[in-house]
Amino acid sequence: MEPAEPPVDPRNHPKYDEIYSRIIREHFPKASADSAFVRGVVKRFRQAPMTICSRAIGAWINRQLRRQNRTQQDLAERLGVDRSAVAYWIQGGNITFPNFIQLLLEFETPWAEAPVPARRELALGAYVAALSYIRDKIDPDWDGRALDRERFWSLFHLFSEPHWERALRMQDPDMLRKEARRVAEAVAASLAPAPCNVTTVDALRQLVRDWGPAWLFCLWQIPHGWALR
Amino acid sequence: MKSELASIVDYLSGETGPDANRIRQELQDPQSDASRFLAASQQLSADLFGEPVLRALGLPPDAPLPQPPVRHGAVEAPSNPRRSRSWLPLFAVGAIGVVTALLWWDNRVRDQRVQAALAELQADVRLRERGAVANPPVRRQPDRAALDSSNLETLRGDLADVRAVLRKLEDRPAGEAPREAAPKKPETQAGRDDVDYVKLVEELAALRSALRAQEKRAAQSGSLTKDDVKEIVARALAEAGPKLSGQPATPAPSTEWLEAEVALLRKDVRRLLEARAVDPMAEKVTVPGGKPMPGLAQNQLLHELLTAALLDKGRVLDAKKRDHAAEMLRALGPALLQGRAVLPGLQPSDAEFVRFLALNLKINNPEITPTVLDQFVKALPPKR
Repeated sequence: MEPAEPPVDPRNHPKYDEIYSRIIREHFPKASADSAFVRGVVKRFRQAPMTICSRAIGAWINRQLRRQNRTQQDLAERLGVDRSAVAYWIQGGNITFPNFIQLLLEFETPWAEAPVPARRELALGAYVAALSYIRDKIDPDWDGRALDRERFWSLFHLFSEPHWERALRMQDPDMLRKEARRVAEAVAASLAPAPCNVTTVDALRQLVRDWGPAWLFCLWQIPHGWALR
Repeated sequence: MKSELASIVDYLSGETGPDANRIRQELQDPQSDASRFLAASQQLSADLFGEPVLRALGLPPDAPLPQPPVRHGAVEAPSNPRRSRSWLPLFAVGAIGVVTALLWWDNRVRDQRVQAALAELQADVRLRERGAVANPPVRRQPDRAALDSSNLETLRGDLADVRAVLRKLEDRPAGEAPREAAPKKPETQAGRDDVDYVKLVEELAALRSALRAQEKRAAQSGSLTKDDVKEIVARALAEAGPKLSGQPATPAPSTEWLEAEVALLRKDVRRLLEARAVDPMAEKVTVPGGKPMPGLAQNQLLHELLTAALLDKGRVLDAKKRDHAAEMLRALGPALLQGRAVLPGLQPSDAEFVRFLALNLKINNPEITPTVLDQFVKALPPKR
C-alpha cells in the first residue's frame, strides 16, 4: 500500500487529517474524546519527562556523594536545606530549579554536563505515559500487561512500516513470521537487552489488539499542541 | 457493525471476521479511506522521534558532549594507553617509598645531632653552675670536633628550611601583583591574606638577617648551640616587632566605573542577541574576540557584567547601573536558555537566573555576600 498523498509535514496537520480525524471520532464516543480526556492525556505526557529527569538527577546526586565521600547531611548543610530534602531528591523527588543550580555549583558540574536523560528517552517516557492513560480510559476494566519499553518499540516498528499490513493482506504465514523477526530485531536495536516477550506473530497480534486503538488515538492527538512549556 | 477504527484494528491484529475482510477489500483501493488512514498512521508513527516533532513537543535538545581541552603541541596519546601507563602506579609507589625513607633517615640523623648538642649544652651548663661558686664564670671551650659537626649541621639545616620557605613565598604566581601594586582590601579575606603575606615576608627577612649573622659568628667561633641561635633570633624578632605590628597603609577602594568596558559589553550583548534571533537554537555564538559562548557556566560576558553591577567598583547597587545590568540580564537570560533549557517545563524567572549567575560568581568573589545578592535580586525592577 502506498500513500496516496505526499509525506505529511508533522509540524502541521497532516493532509489526511480529515479522514484520520473522522475515523477516530467515529470510534470514540463524544464524551471520551472531550476536552477533559485530552487534557488528561497532555498532562501525563508533560509530567513524564519531569519524572524521568528527577530520577536521573537523584541517581546523579547519589553518585556524586559517593564519589566525593560526602554525606547527605553535609550536602544539606552546604545548600542550606534539610537533610530530608536531599534524601527526597535522591529518591527521585522533584527538585526546584534554584536547588538544581546550587547542586551543579556544589558538585562543580558544568551546565552542559547536567544529568538530563537523552531527548529520545524523555520522548519515550512521555509517549508511554500518554498511551497508558489512553488505554485505561478506553477500557477501565482491562487488566492486561502494562506498556513497557519492549512493547512500545514493538508497536513503533510495526506501525511505522507497511510490511506487517502487507503480510496480513497477502495472508502469507511466512511473510508474517519474517515480519515478526524484523520487528524483534528492530526492537533489539532500540533496547539494550534483546526482546523476550513480543517475538512471535501471535504476540504481535495480541499487542495490536491490546494497544492498537490507543496508539492510533495517540497519533491523532500529537499534532494538536502537546508542546511542553 | 463495528466502527471503521475497530475494524482496522481487527484487521491489523490478524482477525478474519467480516469486518476485517471488509477492510482487506477496501485496502485494495489506495484512495479508500482505510488506505489513507493507514498511510497517515504509518507516517505519523515514523515521525514520532523525528526532529521536527520533538522540537514541536518542546523536548530539549541533547546536551553537547563536553569537549576535552586542546593543548597545542601536545603529544598524541599512544595507541595502547593501558600498556604504556601500566608502570605509572608502580613507579609512583616506589618513588614515594624512597622519598619517605630518605626523609625518615634525614629526620633521625638530625634528631640525633640535636640531642647530642642539647646534651653537650646541659653538661656545659652544669659545669658552669658548679664553677660559679668557686671560680669566675669561664666559658668552657667546646670540643671542636663534636660541636662543629653537630651544631653547624643543625644550623645549616634550619637555614636551608628557612630559605626554602622564603623561596616558596617569594615565587608568587604571575597573576598576583606585588603588594605595592595590588589593591588593598583588608576587610576581605583576600585583603587579610595580603596583609598576612606581607607580615610573614618581613618577619622572615628579619629572621634571615639574624641567622646570617649567626652563621657568620658560628663559622668564626664554632661555639654556638641551637639554643643560642634561638635566643638571638627571638631578640631579633622582638626588635623588629614594633615595626611589624603596624598595619600597612590601605588605599581607598577605587570607585572608577569602567564605562569603556560596559560599552564593549553592551555591544557584545547586542551581537549575541542578534545571532540568537537568527538562529535561536544555535549551540554556540561567537562574539567579538573570537571566543565562543557555549553555555551559561562559561559565559564570561555575563559574569563580568554582573560582577560590575553587583560591586559597582566599590559602590554597591548604583541605581542606574543596576537597572542597566538587570535589563541586560533580562534580555540575555531567556535568549541563552532558549534551546538549551535543561529541564523541560521549567522556565526560571529572572530573579532565579540572576541568582544563578550571582551564585556562580560568588565562588570566585568573596565580596559578593549573600546580603549583596539579596539586595540586588530584591531591587530588580518588575518584569515589563
